[in-house]
Amino acid sequence: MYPRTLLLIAMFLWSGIIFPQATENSVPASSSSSSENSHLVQIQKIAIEKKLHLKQYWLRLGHYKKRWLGGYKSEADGGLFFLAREGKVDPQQELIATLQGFFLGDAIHPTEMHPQCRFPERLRWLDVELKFKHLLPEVDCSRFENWKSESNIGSAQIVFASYYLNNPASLFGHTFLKLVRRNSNVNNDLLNHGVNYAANPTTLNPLFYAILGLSGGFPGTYTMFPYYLKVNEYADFESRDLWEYSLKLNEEQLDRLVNHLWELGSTHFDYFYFNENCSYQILTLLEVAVPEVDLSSRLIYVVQPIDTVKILKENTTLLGEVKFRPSQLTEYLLKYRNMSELGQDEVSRAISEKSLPADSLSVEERAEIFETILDFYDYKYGREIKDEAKTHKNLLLKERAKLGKMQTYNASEFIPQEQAVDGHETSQFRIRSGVLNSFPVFELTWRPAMRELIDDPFGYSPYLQMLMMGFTGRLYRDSDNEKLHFIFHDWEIISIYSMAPVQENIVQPSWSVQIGAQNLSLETGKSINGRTNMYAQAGLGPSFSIPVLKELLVYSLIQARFDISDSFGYGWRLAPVLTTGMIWRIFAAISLQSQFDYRHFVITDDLPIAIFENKLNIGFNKSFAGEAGYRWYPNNRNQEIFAGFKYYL
Amino acid sequence: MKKIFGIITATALVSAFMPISAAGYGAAGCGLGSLVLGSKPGFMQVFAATTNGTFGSQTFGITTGTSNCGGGMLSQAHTEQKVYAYNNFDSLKSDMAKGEGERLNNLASLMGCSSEVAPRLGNVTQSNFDTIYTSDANAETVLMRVKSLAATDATLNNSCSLL
Repeated sequence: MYPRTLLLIAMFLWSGIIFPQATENSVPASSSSSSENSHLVQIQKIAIEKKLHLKQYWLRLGHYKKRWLGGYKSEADGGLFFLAREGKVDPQQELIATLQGFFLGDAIHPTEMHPQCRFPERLRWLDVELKFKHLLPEVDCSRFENWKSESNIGSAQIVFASYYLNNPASLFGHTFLKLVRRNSNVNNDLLNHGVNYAANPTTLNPLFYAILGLSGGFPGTYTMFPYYLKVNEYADFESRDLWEYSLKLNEEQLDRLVNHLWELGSTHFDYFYFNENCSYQILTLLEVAVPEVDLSSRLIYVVQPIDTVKILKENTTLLGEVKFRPSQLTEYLLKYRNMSELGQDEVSRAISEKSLPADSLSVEERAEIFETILDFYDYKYGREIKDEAKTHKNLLLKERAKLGKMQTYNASEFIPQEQAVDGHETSQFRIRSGVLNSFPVFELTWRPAMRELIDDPFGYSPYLQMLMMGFTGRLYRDSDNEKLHFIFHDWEIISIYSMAPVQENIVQPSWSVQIGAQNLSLETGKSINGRTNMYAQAGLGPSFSIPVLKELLVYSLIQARFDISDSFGYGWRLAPVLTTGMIWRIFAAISLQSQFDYRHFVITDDLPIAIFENKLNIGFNKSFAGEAGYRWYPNNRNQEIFAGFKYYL
Repeated sequence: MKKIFGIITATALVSAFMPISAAGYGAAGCGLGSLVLGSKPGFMQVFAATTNGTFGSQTFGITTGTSNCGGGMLSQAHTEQKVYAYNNFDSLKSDMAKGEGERLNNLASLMGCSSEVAPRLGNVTQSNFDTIYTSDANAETVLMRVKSLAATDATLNNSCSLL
């Protein structure tokens, strides 16, 4: 119980984890005096005359978006966010009710916060427009004021946490805000505030999770944490590098940001994994802070976390300097690679034998070895270390302490050459043309997210493939009657390859998950074959990077595959799959991939299938790439060559 | 033989699609802190029980860290130290073994020490590492020992206002 209580208090202390909540959403009948009433009516009238409810800033404060058929609707879904009954769809009613709320006297229920305290940014802006603050009843907003003064925010940063494949929610990375205290320096940076917008899932079942996550079934809320909890979670436990971009906000902009954040604390938004996600919400928050910029309308179909940073970099001057916070894994690798060969051998030996580095080494070398192994353990057992490893780690700590302070490699000074924000754009449109056997083929693909193994790895990990909801259609010219056919070819619901080369004492399996639907034309060799099959395939195996050619990765996975289609004898078929291949970043943006797949069907009497594929990809810049490839099905002698063009957007 | 293959394949498939989040990661969209949701079952209930309901009572006093619940700033600072020591237990230990590090500097900051004396705290904790980290040490005892070591060191005692 004790530790949990402490955790709990951590979040409370950081105040604002629970933003104000009230129990009633409509404004109680006003009991204010008649003179106040006449002021109110007068001010409401002027507000309408000035059409304040249609001003962009009011619409942003209420998170109103234009509807297709006219009118507005707010994206906020918590009832407490609106004072008018129809506030969600009626910005004017909401404005009137807000003004009325500000004038309320003592009619507020004790458990409810006064509208003046609940909506400080609405109050500030409306007063600028209407000058009525001196007429308002005196209200004690110490909760808000204490929160604000104790948060003591002097600047803001936007933080990108890189891709994390072991949690479906973090496949594409994450962005959140960091609010920096006025008195912040390098020695108390971890005590700043992390502000997170995220879904609160109500299920862990992956299927329901996916469905609800995509369809807005989870409420998304803002929470505020001590920044060290975020660093622990992302950098230490999940091995995700953090990129901290400072935001160039002036006092006024920062004040708007903090006020509005408080307002958002009382509400929630339906969370949509693809578009109304963390990335989108942070942009709408920044649009309130900096009314001159237009950010969220740039996002139409799919928004990915890194897009927040990309949009800010490409369209505004708000991004300041960047600081890289290496994950525990990165830190270990940096230290290890910085060592002499002798030191590396000692590290590997000490880890496998659970021993200490040899006494014959110099004190500096031993300190370096101790610290590198400790980083290795922190990476490998981030959340909890047990048994033998724990005993060994404790011994290392004790022995390291005896050596005193030493000048060792400092990973926090490392700045990567390739920034995540400068990688290719996150969606792609692809055209391909080619020849299947003797038929000409033309192919169109739309991939909302994100990259395949062969895409230019600049800014990404070269070992990750993350594709979701990609769709491909094909045009065939029929050889007999010269007719054009457009047919469905491929739907990649999800396609992940996570390659983890066995290296530097890190032994992890590489794995793959593929779920989707595919036309059987390639397999059968009949170009106009409308039959499709649904497939699910997953498996794991080792991969190795070849020492001489650092950029060459060789992999071999054992997978299981399940197909469903009415064109199979049983309606389904099942196969173990052997996947072997290599991916080689030949030079900068030029990569080559070769892969061999062998599916041996079991139980049913389907014939085995082998597929051999070679692909070359040349990235020109963040937006364009060219590709060429060759595919061969040896058992039925189908072959296809193609060349194509990718446009990232 | 075919059947056995089939069974192996089917098992591999099923296990491959088991919920990845069962490992205890908070399966929150875009990666909400697993601290809140996943890694510690039961924590969520504590959290919910406290936030559920109104804030007219003490709860909100703690939330805003104000003094209207009694205790005031000093006791808040001590609570913050404890919370920090608990959540950074392992990394603090590594820093003290090295005699320096970011987690330790932040602890110094929470203890009210000026930036200049943070390295001194590193020296003191490193040379007393064995006394601080006895086999039964937990976050609270570690913090207590660090603070009393700091109090007996003239430089630290002078600089650190929240020991």
